[in-house]
Parts: sequence; structure tokens; C-alpha cells
Amino acid sequence: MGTIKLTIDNKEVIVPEGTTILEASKSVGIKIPTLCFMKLDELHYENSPGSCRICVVEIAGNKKLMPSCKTLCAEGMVVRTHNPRVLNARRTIMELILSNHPFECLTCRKNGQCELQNVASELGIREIRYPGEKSTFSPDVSPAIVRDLDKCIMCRRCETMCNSVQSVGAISAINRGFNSIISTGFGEDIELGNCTYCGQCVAICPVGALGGKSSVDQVLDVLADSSKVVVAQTAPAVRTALGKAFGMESDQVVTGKMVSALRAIGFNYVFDTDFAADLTIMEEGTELLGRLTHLIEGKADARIPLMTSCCPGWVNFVEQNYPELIDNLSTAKSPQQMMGAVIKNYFAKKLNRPRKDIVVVSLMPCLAKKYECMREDMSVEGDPDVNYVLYTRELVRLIRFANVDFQSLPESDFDSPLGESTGAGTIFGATGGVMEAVVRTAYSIYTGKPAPIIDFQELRGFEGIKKATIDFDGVQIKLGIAHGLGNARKLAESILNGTSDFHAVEVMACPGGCIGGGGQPFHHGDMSVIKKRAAALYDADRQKSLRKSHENPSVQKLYADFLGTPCGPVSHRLLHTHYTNRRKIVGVYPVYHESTKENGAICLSASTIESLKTICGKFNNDPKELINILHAVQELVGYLPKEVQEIVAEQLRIPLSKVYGVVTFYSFFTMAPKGKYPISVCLGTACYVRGAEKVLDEFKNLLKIKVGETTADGLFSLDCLRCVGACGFSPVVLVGKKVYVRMTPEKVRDVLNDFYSL
Amino acid sequence: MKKIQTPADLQQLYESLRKLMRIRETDPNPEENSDFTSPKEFQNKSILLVCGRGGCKASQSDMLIEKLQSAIRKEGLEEQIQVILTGCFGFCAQGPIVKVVPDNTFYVQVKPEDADELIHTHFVKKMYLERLLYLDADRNQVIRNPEQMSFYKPQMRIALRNCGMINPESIDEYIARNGYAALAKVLTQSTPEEVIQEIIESGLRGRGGGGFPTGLKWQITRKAVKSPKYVVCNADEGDPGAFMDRSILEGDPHSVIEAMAINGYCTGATRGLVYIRAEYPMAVEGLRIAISQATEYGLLGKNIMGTDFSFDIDIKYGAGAFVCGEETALIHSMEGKRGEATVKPPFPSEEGYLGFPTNVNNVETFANIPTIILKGADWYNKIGTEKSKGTKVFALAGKINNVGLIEVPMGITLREIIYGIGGGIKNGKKFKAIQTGGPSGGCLTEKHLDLPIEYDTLQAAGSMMGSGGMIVMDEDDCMVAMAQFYLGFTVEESCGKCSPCRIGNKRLFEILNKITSGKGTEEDLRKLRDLGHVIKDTSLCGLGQTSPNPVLSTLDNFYDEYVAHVTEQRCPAHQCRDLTVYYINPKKCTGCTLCAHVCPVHAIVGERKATHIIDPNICIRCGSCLEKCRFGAIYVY
Repeated sequence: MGTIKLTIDNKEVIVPEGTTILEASKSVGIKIPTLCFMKLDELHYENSPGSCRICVVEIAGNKKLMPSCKTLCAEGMVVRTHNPRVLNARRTIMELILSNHPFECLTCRKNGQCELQNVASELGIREIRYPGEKSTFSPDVSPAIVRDLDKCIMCRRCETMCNSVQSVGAISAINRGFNSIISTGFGEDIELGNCTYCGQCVAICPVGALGGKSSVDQVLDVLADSSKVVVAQTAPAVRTALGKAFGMESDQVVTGKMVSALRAIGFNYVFDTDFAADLTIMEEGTELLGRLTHLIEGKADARIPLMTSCCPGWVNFVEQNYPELIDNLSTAKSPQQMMGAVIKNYFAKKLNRPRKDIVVVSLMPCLAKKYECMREDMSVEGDPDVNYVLYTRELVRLIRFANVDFQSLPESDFDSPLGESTGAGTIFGATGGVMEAVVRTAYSIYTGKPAPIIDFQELRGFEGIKKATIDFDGVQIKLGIAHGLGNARKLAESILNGTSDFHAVEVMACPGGCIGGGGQPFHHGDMSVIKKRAAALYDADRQKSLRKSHENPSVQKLYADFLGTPCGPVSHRLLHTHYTNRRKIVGVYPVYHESTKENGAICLSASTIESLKTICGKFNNDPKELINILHAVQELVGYLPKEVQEIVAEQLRIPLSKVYGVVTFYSFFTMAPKGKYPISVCLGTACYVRGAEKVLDEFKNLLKIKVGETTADGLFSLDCLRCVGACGFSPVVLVGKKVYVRMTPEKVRDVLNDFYSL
Repeated sequence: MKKIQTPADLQQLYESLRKLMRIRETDPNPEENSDFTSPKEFQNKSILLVCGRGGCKASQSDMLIEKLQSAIRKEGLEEQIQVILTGCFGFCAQGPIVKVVPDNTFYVQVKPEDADELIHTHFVKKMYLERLLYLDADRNQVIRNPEQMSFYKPQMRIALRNCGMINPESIDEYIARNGYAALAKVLTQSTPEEVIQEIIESGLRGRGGGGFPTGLKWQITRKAVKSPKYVVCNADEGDPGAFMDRSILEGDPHSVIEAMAINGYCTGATRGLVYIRAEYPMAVEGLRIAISQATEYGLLGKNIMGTDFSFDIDIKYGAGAFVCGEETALIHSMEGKRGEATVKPPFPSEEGYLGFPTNVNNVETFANIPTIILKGADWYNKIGTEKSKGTKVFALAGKINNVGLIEVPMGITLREIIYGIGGGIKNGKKFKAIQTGGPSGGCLTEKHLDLPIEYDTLQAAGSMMGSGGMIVMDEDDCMVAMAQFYLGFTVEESCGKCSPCRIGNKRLFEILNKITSGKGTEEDLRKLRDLGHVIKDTSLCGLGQTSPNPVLSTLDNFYDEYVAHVTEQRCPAHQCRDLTVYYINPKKCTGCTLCAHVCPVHAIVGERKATHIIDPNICIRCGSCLEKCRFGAIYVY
């Protein structure tokens, strides 16, 4: 690899080949502002559409300004990043973006943390010279994620994350031009689609278009209610991210201050979810050994590999995409939910209070947990085991409401009896941490001896899929670890097609693990933030005296006093759950259809469905042939309603949002039935200049419909077309396949009569 | 059909088919109005070439062909006269067209009901049916031979060489005109580098609008390392008002197929893809037939003509998106995605379809290739100007008498096109502007009439060549409304990916709406310029980079018109509805009620013999009343 010498703002820069101007500038202290660009190397995430155009620079010899985030350095290049031409362009573009943005900064959820605010402020925007219409969309509130699409700046980060990294495809670009937006198929609420609530889209959205569902108000109400006992539980990933929000270094675990803060806020008890993590290890470790025993004994239904189930995003992913793997999921609840069950049963008894008086609030790095606590299995007679989930950013808000100077808080300890944890519980927050905790305990239980090492380095790190074989005293146990749902999908596929032979698999939906969760303080593209959080957890683990879950005395006491044995009847009732097939249209496996007449859904006949599948098959179900396929399908059905798009998505194994994004991009495709005789008036320039508009007006007049509508009798629909290439005979009108040339308003009536008489 | 297994096979077939064509290729420069005597070799046979494509087909040329054939049968002349369906003659204003060869009699505006009379008069009475001959309005005389017509004289048909000559659905007819000889030549007599050098020396530049040197593009694709490589023919032709590519595909699809195969040989691609817009079903069908014929003959497929070169072509549909004419958007559309452009570099020649080197060329560019190969770069580069070699196909449309498709050498002036070939402005109105380059171009005016047409001069004048659409406008066209029309188009067609085009063009459009509805200010005119320049400077792809051109160009050339709109709330051309008022002068109105009857929206009220009044709230400014009034009582402000 050679080096390149170029000049940026009169500074000479030498960089390796393949460096972008943006990177090269950074290396000499020139910070070009960006908006849409984001790169997280270790997580294999790169969003660089080069479309916001904020980072444009002038390159001598190039007629146009070029995006520095995409343009590679070339030998001898002369770059200017802020001359009057560039500065004017950059500021005008910012004004344009702001002209299509709600002016709600002061009440916006991203106030103070918004990348758009930052760049606008840096560019010193004082007026919007080009005001105009703003594109608006209906808001969407789901159990975990909230969307306010009016604020979207089309940076495409969320689309890239959901499709390229997470391989879910719940959202994609839809519509075209000014009205284009990132949304779901049919723009429906994400709750109705295949979103797993992993929240990674929220983690990287630069503005307030995406956010977590808030429970702050409810929690404040509950804290003020003296008739309630409010109990907090805190995830490991929270304590390692919290400090930075209050100005501390991000490589510190601030557990003690966190506990003090929670007490200051008003929580009656503060317990540690790490305790429940240890508990989870007991249950899951025992479960794993049980399954391994079945496997060794040659039993048919061994359900190996065992897949972890503490991540609700992953559980959603399995239920929706790979229901055939449901039996492989551990039946153990997540630490959050186990803790909730233990508090509401065991602790409630200790306090001698009915469970309804206890309110459990869990502090999580995660958005999917808000959905998890609402799952059917997780409440008793309408009273949830975990009442509310607050994600880290919400906790930060609560701490601020309490007027607390976080840095000067004293260190406090968790309450008993659910506050003690081992290092194994702590590392749950990092990818590989759960597996490592499992191994530390499972080894001992299986072999009867302590593990020779405690730190299993091969299970750590940010590689997308880690594979390791651990020697359990002669027995080779094969482990697989994935973080990010794209990697999880690869693991799942390998399990299904038999190309892997794992005994146990850990999946965390968020890249990096829970420390990179959708509810954490924003990293704004700084990978080091995520790395430091992981390192801090492993550090904290090393500093603990107890590092294996089964050594936790509080956990042992819980079993002795209350639970009995791991996977025993009481544990099963309280600490285990079940899963359901919730396969949605995701285009990966054949899907179960519910074509009912409710809600205006159309019922496709079995033969139509067969014909549609045949069409897709003729093109080898190749996603590259989507447009040719949609043409053929529209030819057959007449239009492309949802039911038809779902089948195409299913056959081609692509997300519905992608199919919808293509259908809404191209003018030829229609989702409403056309009239029996569809009329298209050409409004190309040549026709326009020769009076096509008046011809169109006459059609509108006689048929009494507007463009895009169909007559009540279903005979005619009216549309505009841009150029059929018969300009020598303009104006041109098409009715179905019939072409009428040299049209005048006077001839319109005759044209219509041609069809009335049929 | 026998497969063509070697170039010798092709040569043999060509020679056996030659006779077919000679009758159609008679003396191109006969003396004016001289009597024609058919050479003995034709044995008194004749052919009727009838345009069966595009607008002519819509004007019932199908039925015309049927009626001609039955008339011939009726007269018992089946042995003597053959009717052949061809592609576009180019003279669309006079279509449907029937050309009789070998005498080169050019009948125009022929209707199916004229068939009997035409056959009887021309072949039995052996006289020309004068009423169907072209009447040259200027010289007030009938012209029989198209070579004499001012529409055709300056033209030089290279890309359109076969349109109007051959039946596009017959590969034999294409071969009879030297079809596939260029492919045979390069496969057996030249190395890819030699062919590329020939194309470079010819000076051919991309005809889709970009004007990039074609040979250079082929060379870059050849040098690209990754494999497999692809050849793509851009048949998206999105410019409204452009139908050059359509005519070539419908009239001579094999020329494109042959050229794509030649490109494959040069660049190392074995797969060709034609991306064709959905609005051209006839062209698609014609192409499909041509591809299957070529495959049957072994001119596509494995080991073409006995060499180790293999090449196949597939068709991919567009679906109604102008932006897919941009090569990266086109490529993504072929990949089954939204047609969103991506940043260049990397260019498709290095990283295109599926990430592999892809050579994207326009239909017309390809159509030139076989001729360049056969006649040589030296022949080709003597045509045109220093920097713009060869000919260009233009689609002449709008307020001009001779609407149609023309092919002229580069360097011809606008005056020659508009007043010579075009026959001047329709209805005797005054020329105002000619829009070239579609929504990416600008307008040229009176002062540009003597500009030689070539890539660089047009760009320097604030417009561009574009794909070849030329829309003529007259005094009744408001240039502000024209800019608004184009921006409306751009706003609808923008893919929406980059900020300047997605939002900026919308804002330009909104300002133009303000101006045409009488709410504009002088400040708005400054804003149009400033914003227009930033959009040009920062947009991601060619669509955004050129979309402000109509605005900037009309601002430059018709500033007064804009000023009238914003300072006087007046539209000088009386086109902008909100700034135009139709008024009946009570002193001149006789109450004849003619205007009230002709008004399509019943905006005029009045008693018989009493003054009529136009309600400005209902009036749609169509101008019908003004046309009808015999007393000059209606005024327009």
C-alpha cells in the first residue's frame, strides 16, 4: 500500500492509499462537519451515502464540490474545506435541511444532544432564507420505540443499521423525492411489523426522529405514591455507561454512586440485576447440563444447542424468523424478569406486603426490555413482575430532576438480600459475558472441579461471531457467540442447515452486547466509548473476590430458603418462561397468511397465490429481478395491494419494507386498482407545449375526477404520464394500450365514447 | 434458418440478400422532379415502405398496411408490389408515411381509406396521387422525392440509417444492409485494443447527454481488473420530448445488439443488459424478437461465428423513474432496488452492476458503432466539428411546423434546424426560444440562432446537448411558466436521496409558484439564482446538478419576463393564469353570444345583444373566446 501526498487548506498531508479526504483532514486537525456519515469499524457498521452534502469540499480541477466522506485522496490533490464557495454551499444546505425540520428544539427529546443542532450551531445559521413546505408524517408509538418522522433528515443511518447490520429490515426508504422517508412497509406502526425493538436505530439517529418510549412520568408518579414500595434493579451495562453522562471518564464503573443516586431519587430499595444474572446462570447452567446429558445419552429431543434467552431483541428475532429454533432457546427468563419474579414473591413475603404494593423498576441499557416486561408470561393476575423499565438515558434524566451532583455522591451498597453479585454476573453486559459466566459455573458442576482458569479470553472481543471449544475435563464443549442480529442470523442458519455443531450459543442483539444497547447514552459514532464500557466491566469482574455465579452466597441462600433447586418446581414456575411462533412476513421462510376480509384486507384466491408464486419462480425468486417481477404481477392482478407485496417479499426472501420501498419509488406501480380503461395523459414537454394541460382539464371535467382517481363506475381512472416518446404527434393520450394522437379538448368526448360503446 | 457459423457464412447470406435492398437504395440525388424510369434489374417491381411504429402506429398505420395489401390484391398486383413495415422516417408531422421505392415517392398523412386510391392511381393509372404528396408551404409546390425536401436535405442518417429502410422484425433485412458485418470484422480481424483505438479516433462522444468520449469509456472498462464485466445499454430515455432512442429501438434494434456484442468483445464482457423504460412496450417487444432472432442465427450466444467469443443479452424493465437514466441509479434499478444514485467515483466502468466493471452507453451511441467499424474512424471524424464528431439525432417538437426526428452533422446551426429543416414556427408565430437537453438543459434564443450545435458551445451558452430533445417555443409561451414546468417535473422525479436536490429543488419550485401566481418579489429572483447555483454545485448526481438549468437559463435570457411577473404582476405571454385577465371591451361587444357558447367552463354571461362579461374567477384562460370573437372585443392582459 502506497502513500499519497496532498494539500488540504494549504497544509501538506501524507496518508496511506485508500484514505478519504475526511480522514486525511482529521489527521492534520481539520474537522470537516458531517451529518449522515457514521462508521463503527469493529462493529462492521458504515453509513456513508454521501447524501447530506454537508461535508462537501472544493477540489481543484473538479467542477463540482465533492463529499469528503466518500472521496478518496489522490496524489497532488488540492483541497479547500472552507473557502467562500464551500462555506456558502455548506450553510445553504444546512438551511435547506432546517427548512424541512420542525422548529421544536426546546421541547425536543434530543435537545442538547442533537447532531443537527450541533452542526447548525457550528455553522452559525441565523436565518432560513428558503422556507417552504415541510413534509409531515403521523407519529408512531410502540412499546419500546417512538418515531417522530417529521424530524427525519434522511441520513439513512437507521436503514443501514436495520438492514445491513441487523438483517431485520423492519424499515427502509419508501416513497420518492421530497416525500421520501425511512419507514416500514406501508408506513404502518412498527409494532405491527417485524421490528425486534433492538433499538439500534435509536442508538445512532442523529436527531429526535427516533427515541425510546418514555416511562419517566409513570415512575415519578409511583415514587410519589407513599402507599407503594418502589424497588430498583440495575443492569451491569448501566453502571459502566452512567459516569460519562455526568462528566466522568467512561472507563469507570460507577456502581456506588449509581446506588446513591437511586436512593436520592426516592427508590425504597436498590437491588442488583447482577444478582439475578448469577441466578440465571444457576438455572441456565443446570438446564444446559441437563440437555448435554440427554445428548450424550443419545436421546432424540436433546434441544442442543442451547441458545441464551436473556436478550428480548434476540428472542423476538427467533420467534418471528426462526420459530423452528424456539425449542433451542433456554427456558430461563432474563435476569431482569427473574429479579422481578423474585422480588414480587420472595421479597414481598419478607416485607409482608402484597405484590401489588411493590413496584419494580428496572434500569436497563435496553429498549426491548420495555416490551419484555409486558409479555404475557411475565405477570401474575395482571400485576407485572417488572412494572416499569427505564433505560439509562431516562435514569440520567431522573438523576438530574433530583438536583443531584453525581460526581460528588458518596458510594453506597446495594440492599440485601438481592444486592450481592459475583464477577460473572457483572460481565453479562458485554458480548461473550453470558457465555463466560455459564462456562465458569457449568464447568464446576459438570466436572466437580473448579475451572482451571477464570478469564476465558477466547470468549471476549468484538468479532461478530466467536467460536470456541472449551475442554470440560476431556469433553469438548463447542460454543458460539454472536452480537448483532446479522451475525445471529448467520448462526441460526448454520444451526438449521447443520453446518455448525455448537452445544451452546449466546446471542446479544446489540452490536457490542448490552453495553451498546439502544437505551445507553449516545456514542455519536465514537467506537472507543463502547470499547471502554466493555473493558470497565471486565475490570470490575477482575476486582471482585467472588467471580463465579454458583459461589454467590445470597443466591445460595435464595435456593435454600425459597427456590429449592435450580430447575426445580418452584424455579420452573417463577423463573422460566415459554415462547410462541410469531412468524411475521420477513421473507426468509414460508409464512402463514391471514388473508381476512377485516380491515379492508383482500382475500387472494388460492389460484392467484399460486400464479404469483409461479411468476416469482420464473425469475428464480431472484431479488435482483424484483422490478421485472412486479411488472408481471401487476399485469396479472391489476395492482399491487399489500397481500400481493407480502407474497413477493416472502418468495424473494426480502423484507416487506424493501418491496414497498421499490413499489412506492416507481410511478408505474400502483397500489390502488385502476379503472377498466386507465387513461394516461402525457404531460411531457412537447405535449405540454401543444396544449396537453387543456386536454387533461377536459378529461377531469367530463369524468368529474381528479388525477389519480377512478370514476365511481370503475370504468376510467386518470393519470399523468411523462413522455411516451411520440412527441411528433403531441399531445398524446393513452387509454389502456390504445394510443390517441394529436389530441385536443374537443376530441376528448369522442375518445370516451369509444369506450362507453364497448 | 441456418446458423451463421463463420464470417464467410455471413458474407454469403449478405450477398444472397443484397437484391432485397437495392430496390430501396436508389439514387439519392435525382434531379428535381425528373421523371423516374425504373432500372431493368428491378423488373418493374415496387415496394411500399410504411412506418409502423410510434406515432404512425397510433395513427392507424396497422390498418393502413392491411388496406394497402387488400388494395394490391384487388388490383391483382401481388407479384409486383410488396408492402413492408418499417421504422421511423422521422417526418412525424406528416405521418403516416408511405414511401414507394424504387421511385422514392413520399406520400404523407396517408389514411387507411386512402389505400385503394393510392394503389390505383400510382400503379394502375401510373400517376402520382398529388393530394397525398408533401406540400412545401414556402415554395408553394408539391415535392415528391424526400431528398428534395428541406426537411431531409441537410440530414445525414447514420444512427438512423436503417430506420424507414428495413423491416425491424427481419434480421435478414438487417444483414442485407451489412448488418453484423462489423461484428464479424472485429471478431476475426482486430484485437480489442485496435477496435477501441478506432472508436477513440472516431471522436464519438456519449449521445445520452454526458458527451463522454466513448472510446475512452470502453478502454477504462477494458482495463478494469474485476470480473465478470457487463455491457449495459441505457434505453431509459426519460427526457420528455425525446424519442430518438425509441425510434432506433423500434426501427433498427439489431444495430444496438451488434454494437453491444462489439463492446463485449472489446471490454471483456460476456453479458449485455438493456435497461428499457416500461413506457416503451413496442420497443421491448421488437428488441425481444431481435434478440431471439440473433440467437437463432448464432450471432448471440456461445462461440459467435466460430470464435471463442460468447455474448448474451437480457432485458431489464424500468418502471417509470426519470432518475433511472442516470447510470448509477440505472444500475441499482437493475439490481432490483430503488433507483437512487450513488456517489461517483467509483465510476461504473470500475464498479458498476453488482460491483463489477460495467460499460453503460446510450442507444444512439451504440447505433453509431457498426458504421464506424465498417467505414472507419477517418471517415467518421471528418463529419461534425473539431470537438464534436459525427452526427446527432434530435427530436424536434413543440411549436414548429416540421415536428419529427432528424439526424444532422454536428456543427449545424439552430437557424438551419428551426427554419430550414423545421419549416419555421407553426401558425406563423414568432420564435421565442428553443429548449435543448430536456429538464437538464436551458433555452437558447434569437441571439443563439447561428450557434453551431456541439457539446461545448451549447454548454457555454447555458444549455446542453442532452439526449437530443429540442422543444421550440413561440411568443405565446411564458418562460417563467416553462421553468416552473421543468422544476415541477424535477421535484416529482428526484429520487430524494441528497439534501440539495430533495429539498432545494422543491424550494426553487415553490418560489416559481409564488412568482407565477403573482406573489413573487425581486428578492425571489435573487434567491432563485443563489439557490440554483448551490444546487448545481452540491447535488449528488446529474439530475440535481443540472435541474436548476431551466431556471438559470431563463433568468439569463428572459430576465424582463421575470421582472414583469414580480414587479407588475403581469405575464407578458398571457400564459400564467393568475396574472392574466381576459376582458371584454363593452364598447366593441355586440352581444353575439359566440364567446359564451365556446367557453368550456361557462365563465361568460350576458344577454343576447347585450354586453357580455367574463368572470375572472371561473375563467381558465384557455383563449377560446379570444379566438372566436369576430369583433376584436376581447382583450388579454
